[in-house]
Parts: sequence; C-alpha cells; structure tokens
Amino acid sequence: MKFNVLKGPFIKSKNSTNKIMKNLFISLIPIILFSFYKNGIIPYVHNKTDILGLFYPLIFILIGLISTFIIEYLYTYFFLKKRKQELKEYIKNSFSIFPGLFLALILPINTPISILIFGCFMAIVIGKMLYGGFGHNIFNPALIGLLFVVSSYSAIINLNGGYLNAYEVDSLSSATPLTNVNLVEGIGTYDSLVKPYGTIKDFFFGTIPGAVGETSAFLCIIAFIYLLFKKVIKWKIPIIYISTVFIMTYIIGSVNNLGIWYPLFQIFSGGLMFGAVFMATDPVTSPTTSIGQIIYALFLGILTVTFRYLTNAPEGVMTSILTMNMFVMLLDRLGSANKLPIKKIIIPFIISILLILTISFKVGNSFKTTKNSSDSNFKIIEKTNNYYIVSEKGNGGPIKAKLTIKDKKITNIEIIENNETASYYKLVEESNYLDKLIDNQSEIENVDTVSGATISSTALKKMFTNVINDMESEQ
Amino acid sequence: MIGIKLPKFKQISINEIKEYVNPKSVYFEIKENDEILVKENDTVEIGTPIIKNTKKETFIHSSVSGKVKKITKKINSLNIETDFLEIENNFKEKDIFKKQKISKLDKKEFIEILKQNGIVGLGGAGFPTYKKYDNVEIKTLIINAVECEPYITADYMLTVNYIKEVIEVLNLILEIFNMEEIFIAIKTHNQLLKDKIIPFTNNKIKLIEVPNLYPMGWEKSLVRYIKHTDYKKLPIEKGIVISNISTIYSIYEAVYCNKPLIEKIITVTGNAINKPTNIKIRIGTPFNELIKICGNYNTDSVSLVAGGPMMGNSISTDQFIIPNNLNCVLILNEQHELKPITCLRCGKCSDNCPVKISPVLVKDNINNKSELQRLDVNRCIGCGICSYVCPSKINLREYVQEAKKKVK
Repeated sequence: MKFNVLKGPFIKSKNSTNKIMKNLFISLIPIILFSFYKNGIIPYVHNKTDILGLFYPLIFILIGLISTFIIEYLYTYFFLKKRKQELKEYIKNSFSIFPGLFLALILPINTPISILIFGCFMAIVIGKMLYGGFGHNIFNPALIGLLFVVSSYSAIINLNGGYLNAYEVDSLSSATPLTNVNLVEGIGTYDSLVKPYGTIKDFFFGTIPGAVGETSAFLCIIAFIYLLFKKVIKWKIPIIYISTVFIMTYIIGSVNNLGIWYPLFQIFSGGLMFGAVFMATDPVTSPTTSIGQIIYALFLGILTVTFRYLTNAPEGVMTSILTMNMFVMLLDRLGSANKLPIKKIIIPFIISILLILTISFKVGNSFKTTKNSSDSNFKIIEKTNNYYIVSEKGNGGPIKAKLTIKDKKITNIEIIENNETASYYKLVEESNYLDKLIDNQSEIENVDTVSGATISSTALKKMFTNVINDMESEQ
Repeated sequence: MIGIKLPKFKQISINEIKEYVNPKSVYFEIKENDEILVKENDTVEIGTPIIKNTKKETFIHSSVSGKVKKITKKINSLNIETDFLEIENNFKEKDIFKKQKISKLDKKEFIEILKQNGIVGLGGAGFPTYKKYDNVEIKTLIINAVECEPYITADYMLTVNYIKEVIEVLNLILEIFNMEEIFIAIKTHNQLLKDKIIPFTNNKIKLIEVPNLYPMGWEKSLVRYIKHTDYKKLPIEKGIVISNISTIYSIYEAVYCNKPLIEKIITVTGNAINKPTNIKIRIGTPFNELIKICGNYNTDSVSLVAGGPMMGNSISTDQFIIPNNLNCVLILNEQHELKPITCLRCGKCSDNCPVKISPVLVKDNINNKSELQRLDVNRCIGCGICSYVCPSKINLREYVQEAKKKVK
C-alpha cells in the first residue's frame, strides 16, 4: 500500500490558464471575421480588389500571430537554450500567438507585411522576452510593438494607404474619424465628425475606417459579455475606463451644446472599446487588486481624454495604457494595503474626480470660446419682412449677401460682395451649392459642403443657419 | 457575499451511520501542559478521566475499558510522530451511559458538566466548550450545521438522526442562559434536513438557510450573514456564541447521560475507497481499523487526507490516530500534484480571499519581510480558496503559510 503525501487543497478548480487563453481567442473570432467582412468581402463585392485582397485581412492577422510564435520559439531556442521537452513546455505555457494577433488587429490594414513582422519582433523581444517572458513583462507586448511601428514607420504606412481599405479609399476623403477631429475647426459638429462616415450606428457596428480589427464597438461589447460570463476578464477596468471617457466627453459636449452623439462618437472611435476590453485588461500588465484596477481604469480614462484633446496624438488609447502599465505595481501596493487605510486610498479617487471635472470643463470651455468667436463673424446689416442683408466671414474676408424671405423661408440669395479666391469660389458656383442650400433649408445639416472649397461653402451654410435661427427666434 | 461555489461530492457518503466500538487499543496524544492521571497497568473504566491539561483545565477520558500501557510513538492527524498514551481494550465495558431525568440546572452547574466531561468544539479547532459558555451574557447562539467543505457529511448524518436530542438540549440551554434566540444554520436546497428541523422550530429556535458557498461555515461568515455584524477576535464581543451541531450533541450526552466526549461520528469517503460512509467511532482509534468497514481501498496507491479536501492535510500512513476534532478522512486516487505554471496575474486569488489578503503579492514578495508584514498575512484562515481558484495551479496557500512563519 502506498500513501502519497501531497499538498492540499485536494480539489482544484477546472479553470486553467489554457482555458482563459482559449476563451480570449474565442472572443476574438467574431472580430477577426468582421475584419474579413469589412476589409475583404466588401471591397471584393464592389470589385475594388482581387481574390488576394479578399483574403488579405485573414492573411494579415495570420502572419501576425505566426510571426510572434516563431520569433518567441527562436528566442527560447537560441537565447534561453531550452531544448526538447523543456522547450515544448515553455512554448505551450507562453501563449506567444497573442501579441502578434493583437498587434495585427490594431495596425492599419495597409501596413506593409515587413513592418508587421518588425512590430511582432519588437513586441516579443522588447515587450516580453527581455523582461523574462510570459507573466513578467511590465508593458503590454502588442502595444510595445505598435509603439515601435507607429513611431518609426507611420509615414510609410500612410503613404501606403493608411487606415482606408480598398473600398473606403474611393468613398471617403479623410483618414480615421479621430484624425479628422484635429482637422476641423473648433470642437467639430455632427456634420464634420460623424456624417462623413455615416451615422452613429456605423460607429457602433464598426463600418468606419480604422485599424484592422478595432472598429466594431458592438463586437467588443459582445466579446466583453462573453469574457465576463466566462469569468476571465478584469471587468471593472473596461467598464470604468469607458464610463470615464464617456462622462468627460459628455461634459465637453454639453458645454458646447452638442448632443449625446458626441460622447458616443468619442467612445466608439479610436479603438477605445477594443483597447479597453482587450488591451487594458491584459492580466499580466494590469493590477490584481480591486482598488488598483479601479484607479487604473479611472486614470486610463482621464489620460485618454487628455491625449485626445490636449496633444496632437488623436488616438490616445495606446499611450494611456502604456503609461498606466508603469504604475501597476504601485497601484497594487495601494490596493493591498493592510486593513485598507481609507485616508490613503481616498486620495487617488479625489484626485481623479477633480481631474475629470477640471479637464472636462477646461477643454469644453476652450472650444466654446472659439465657437463663439466664429459666430460673431455673422452680422445682420439690414433686416425687413422681405429680406435680410447679412455678412459672414469667409476664406478671404466677409461675404455679404441679400437673402429674400417669404413666409419665413429663404427664396433667393444674391451675393453682394465676396473676397473668396476665384478658383475656389468657382467650385461653389459650379456645384449649384446655393440652390442646394435653398432647397434643403429645413434640414440644412444634411447638405454636404463643397470639397475643395470647404471654408467658403461652410461660411455660406453658416450664413443660412444663422438667418434661419434668427427668423425662428422672431416667432 | 464572500465565498465560492465548490463541487459537492457529498451524496456518496450519505447512507446509514455505521458503528465501530471495538478497537484493540485506543491512543491519546500527550500535548503540552498535559498531566497523566493514571499509572501504567492501571485498569480504567470507559469514561475514566486519564489526562488533564493543566493550562486549559480540560480532561480527556478513556474511550474503552482496559489496561493502561506504556507511552508509545504514533502518528497524529497532522502527520507528526509524537507521544501517545495507550489503553488496551479488555472488552469488558458496561453500558453505563443511560439517559436520566435531570433536575433544574443553573449556569454554573452546566458549565461544570461541560468541563468535567471534556467537551471541546468538534468543528475543528477543539476549543474548550465550557470557556465559550462561561461568559457574562450570551444573547444569541448559532448552531453551525453548515458543513461547507465538500465530501464531509458527518454533521448532516448526525442532524438527520439526532435532531430530537439536539433540540432537547437547546431548549435547556435557552432556559439556563435566558438567550434571546438560537439559530440553526444549514445550507440552502437541503430539503431533507430542512424538513427534519422545521417541526422543532419556534420563535426562539429558528432555522436559517445560508448560501451554498465556501467558507460559509467560517464563524465570521456566519455572524455576518445571520447577524449582519462583524467582530474583532471572538463572536462573544457581540454576545454571540457559535457551536458546531455535533458539539451540541455531545453536550446533550454529557448533560442527560453523564457521558464524556469519547465518541464521535467521522466521514470516511473519497474515490479510492469502495464504500464511503459515516462511522461512529471511539476517539483514539487508529484509522486503519476502519478500512474494512468501508470496503477497503480500491487501488494500492492512494492519497490519505485527514480533514476535508480544502483544509485537510496529507498523511503518510493509515495507522494514524483519530483525535476528537477530526470529522473526515478522505481517501483519494491522487498520485501527484498538478504542475504549476507561470502566474498570469489574473487576480482571482485576491478577488476570492475571504480575509482580503492578496496571495499573488505575497508570492511576489515572499523574501521581503517588511512587505509581508504590510500585507498582514497573519489574517489567513487557511481556507485554501487561493490555491483552489488559481488557473496556473500555483499553491498559493503554501506561500501564505510560509509568509506567516516568516513574519512571526
């Protein structure tokens, strides 16, 4: 009779690291398939690409995950000198496909394959193995890969087509919705931010330009629910992260009289959902204690908003997560304090709430002043029951016009004075823009401005809007 | 709500209570401050006090009639070889523990009965019961019949079979201490047990169903759930006493039958034994004598656990001696431990810890004494949840136990 002396407990949960990783992979499958649909099938159906282009998104992702696997295998073989059984076990428990998989999903579709592989190399070597491999890295390896790619090769990627897939290149004029934010004047409007890409619904479902796999907020939510149900996600992080961004951008939006679409636009774009669900919750590089996770997520939100509004980097998610990765140890120390000293813990919460409020209102108000000043460009020179004579600032100076009114409707416009560059103004005339404005004055937001003469046409549109507002306020 | 769901494995040992009353010899561990009250070759009756602990003022009674032998080395339930006093059974015991009518008792007399009959807490800790009840004012008594560890059914079987006796002594205690209320805590969805207890409940003796979670039977969890309050060291701070239901039954035997603590019900179960069952045994019986009753091992390489699967410890021989506070022996077909892999830092151990220690951080800082002190590892109750939930199969409880030793 043999009695084996073992260490208890003598029952173990069926959960395993392997299962967690499997569930993580399963939750990514819809996102991979959606990328195939958006970047492969749609362009193919519209005859914008060939059969290789149809499968390109899948090939791109596959190359990413195979690259990190091979790079880690080689590193383990040559530098850690592991062989046979030991090598096999190391690789089995190292989950080396994930950095590559994630990196492929957060890069623009037009990233050259060589740059993708370069990113994978950096993710594995700099982001993971130099720290001692799986479980020891401080920074999210995929984001380290992205950081190197963006900082070294973003110009090449943009030359190659950037974020736009073959179908989007023909139908859209500018890059991702968030890069657009930096281009428009002031805080932007529904017209300038959402309209070029469809509606908020497109943002929610992900049929907007963006990285390979991070455009669909909807699928990120589905994946979050799946991972929550399987209990393999630090659920507090994405919920608090996204809520913080939502609240802050909601304040910023309301200060500028923008609707609920504005905070929604902010949380559905720039890979925030994907970053919050998959990158910020990476178990190895996020806090283990509840309180640590809450503070971590609050500051992720604050940093993301700060980066988006106060710097030239439009995305902000990657930078925020990498920044907060550095503080994980500190936050865990705070969260694990003996008997939780309320005084100590409450400080970061107070700081974060103060930051949320001050940043939101400060950013909100700074845009408000620019908006007001542009509005003050509008002047009513003369007003009767039958016509308005008004002026609005255009590109080259004020545009003066006489607008004929009948039954509170604009029936005609006559430009009295204009200092616009002739070649630009010609575009406005050629496109019958003024007629369009008159015809669609009841839903003036829906009238597209003239590309090539954006400022002139926007000024005319503003003129219309202001006159309509003025007439309505008379009632 | 603190706690996790565990698999049950309880049904396999629920049948009748078997008896084993004829051990060849019984053995009693000699601990610190113990005074032996008998000499070698003395003849003792069943129930004769043989060891007195001078510090705790508790007695241990012979559980058979027979001859006192030399002090010998035996393995105890913690797998440590130590000194035991042997009583060789002469099989001449008389049935002297008949139920008697008792006159009215006051608090002092009641406590003296507990003291003289060596009643200790049978839930695991073995705290002298008379000390618990020797308090100025007890408002609430909680009867712990939760038995939240998997596999163990000893309390369940006792409750099903002896609920009448338990209630009888509870009414007596209620009267003696003039308590406000008594709660009998059982797990939810235990219809049979509920049906057995319900007829005896009234406005003072109440049945309370607690969630099917581990460690719900931990005293702090029970007080939190039932009385919505917290205490620092002992529940008596809030006027609460908690007793295991099997302790209550041994109080019954002491009060009504003048029977000291010499018997107890123990669950012998697991997947490496043919007939898992509950056995009423004499305290001090070597475990190997019970194997036959349980239909023998079904394999020749097993893992033997004294206690439940979560809190119990592995034993290197089946000849260990059963002490009064052991309620389960597990025989599992386990050959080796699962090999741990690198920590994923998922934080599940911290999330599920009932005393809010961060085992993952204890592991990270195992060589940093000041950090371990800051993490307050001494709060650990050894429930084993951290090791149970770990997806990387790291035995975190071992780290916390090691840390406990380091900060001492």
